[in-house]
Amino acid sequence: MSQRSERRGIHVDQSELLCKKGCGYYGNAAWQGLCSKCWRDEYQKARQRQIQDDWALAEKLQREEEAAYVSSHSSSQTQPPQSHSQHSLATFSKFEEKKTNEKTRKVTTVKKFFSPSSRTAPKKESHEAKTPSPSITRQSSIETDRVSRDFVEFLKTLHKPGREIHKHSRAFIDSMGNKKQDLSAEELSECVQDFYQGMSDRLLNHFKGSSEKVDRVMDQVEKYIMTRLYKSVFCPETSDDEKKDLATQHRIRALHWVTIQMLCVPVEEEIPEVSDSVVKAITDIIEMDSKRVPRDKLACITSCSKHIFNAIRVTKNEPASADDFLPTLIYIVLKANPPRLQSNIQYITRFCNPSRLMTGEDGYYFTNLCCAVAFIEKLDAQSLNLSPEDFERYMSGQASPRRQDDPAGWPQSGSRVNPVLTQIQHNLSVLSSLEKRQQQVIEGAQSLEAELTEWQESVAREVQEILERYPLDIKPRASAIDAENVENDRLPPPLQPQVFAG
Amino acid sequence: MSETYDFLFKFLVIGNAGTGKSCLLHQFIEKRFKDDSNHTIGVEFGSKIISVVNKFVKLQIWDTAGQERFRSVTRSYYRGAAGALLVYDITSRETYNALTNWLTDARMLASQNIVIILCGNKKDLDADREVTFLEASRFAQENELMFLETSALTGENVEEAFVQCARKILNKIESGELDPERMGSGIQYGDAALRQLRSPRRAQAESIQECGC
Repeated sequence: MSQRSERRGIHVDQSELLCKKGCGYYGNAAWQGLCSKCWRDEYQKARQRQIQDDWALAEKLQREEEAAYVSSHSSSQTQPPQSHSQHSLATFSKFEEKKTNEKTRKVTTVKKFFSPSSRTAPKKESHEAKTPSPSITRQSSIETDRVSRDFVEFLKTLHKPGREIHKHSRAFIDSMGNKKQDLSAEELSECVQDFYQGMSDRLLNHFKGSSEKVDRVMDQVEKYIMTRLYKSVFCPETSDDEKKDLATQHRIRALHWVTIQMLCVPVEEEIPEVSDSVVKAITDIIEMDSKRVPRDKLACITSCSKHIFNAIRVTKNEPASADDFLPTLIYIVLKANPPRLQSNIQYITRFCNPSRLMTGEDGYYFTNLCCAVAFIEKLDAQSLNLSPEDFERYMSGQASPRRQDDPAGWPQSGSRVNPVLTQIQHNLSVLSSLEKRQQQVIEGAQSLEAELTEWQESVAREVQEILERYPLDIKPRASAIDAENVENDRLPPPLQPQVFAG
Repeated sequence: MSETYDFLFKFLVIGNAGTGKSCLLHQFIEKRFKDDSNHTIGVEFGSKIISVVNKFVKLQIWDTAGQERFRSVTRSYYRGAAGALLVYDITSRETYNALTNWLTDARMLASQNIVIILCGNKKDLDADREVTFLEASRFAQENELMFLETSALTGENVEEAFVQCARKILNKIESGELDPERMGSGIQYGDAALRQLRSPRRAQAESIQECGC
């Protein structure tokens, strides 16, 4: 249609000067033989068509982008720009315009191109990218949301600098999200440390020498950033942290036989208050893994260390020294066997604000923990003042599954740390005691039975001996008559009665 | 933590076990010996602000484990230390003989610029002395150390040891030998120092960040 009108315009222009619409006014070559009014009407129609074409193109690109994201095919991502450029060329070739009109049309095209996509996209797209790439909405965890809200609330108190900090922090997190798959753990660490350094310098300029405020802001920044990045930077797949975790875990488990005496630990666990401090110290260091922010992990280590110092102080009744503290910390680590110990240490080393690690209380206790872990890894017979034979026997003997089932193989010094283990050991002890007592009763009964039998036999035997020694001869008795005769022989003759006549 | 100071120095207390390292620390922080502190809330981590040549310096003092079996794993204590107290027991020649090893570790693991003061502790037990003042003084001179005999029991020369060490560090900063801007120097600016530095708008040397390993 437009082509036909163009031809007709050119042809008529040579012979007539009137508007081709036939409205009676004079036409103009610049408006293709139309008068200004008719030209404006014609332009409106073309613009409407352009808008519809742009809309259709945008929707097509949207679907292609989403399909590309779902299937994660990189090749399909290159298609949209090509389609876009081809379509633009086709669109622009429809019209012959002056430069000013061409510029206006391009601006309109770009604006219209982005406005439809903004309706469907869940978030605002960055205008730097010509091709809109809708991001797949991630379900962030409740904790991450809360930390983000807390961070925003904190920054509101700072007004304009707060907005700057928030912008920089978000930009950093986005850039880290893009880089994480390509960078090694050390490179990630350098990115984070560089960000801390830059942010700290900027804050120092703004707050003009108030390092306390700077520290407080940096703590919040660290909390926000590391909560968001934790999942991707803790124990990253590019590193061997997980392997080290397992090695350390096995090592500590193999050293379960190490006693307080071997380490020269000045802690008396029989005292209830001391035992309580030991339990709390173990709980603290196990809890370290549940924290996300490096500062919170350090707080667990510091709390653990303070409970250790309390245990030593109560035992010795004097302030503790580092000579006492380090062996006790080693003992606590051996008893606790904290989960993912190496990963936590590496995470703190890589991503904590460095000013807190080099100096300060948290840095001191963290350094001691690193010393304790290094000592456990290098532990040998000499370290424990044992002979190599004893050391090997303990290391290999305890590992034997047969020995572990045998109650006799249970460690002599009962562990007062775990109440369940304590109960098991107590029960085993009671059962063992009962077994002994029952054995004694059975033996007593058997002894008594034997004794009774022996007594009967001995009595019978004695009587028999006496009878044999003194035989009893019983002479046959004489008849009764003979008995009387015997008596008559000795008696005088009976008196005869005398008769008296008077 | 809210006190104002010009500089923050990280200090170490090193030496054999049983030489009185923690007693020196407690005496300096709390002005008392351990026997007198039955009912004191212990200050495990040493930190104190002192005044040295018109400047306020915050000393962060790291007590270290001195047992021989821990020597190979306690090297990370030294990272970023500006000063150190090297302690031996004047009644124990064994602790004096071990000083060379401690000195080698400190020079190698901290930095060449670490300021070390030799402390012969337990001066109050002079009757049991096994190491003479002259002998130790000569050792200190040969190794470019400052030297003091101290008593954690009586408090004699305890604060003086820390103050002398801090003063020498400040002198090194002023003479340019020590650059506080270096991350590993063990020195940090406090609030007052930063305020003083910013106002003249002096150009600062570019910060060189050392590896933390």
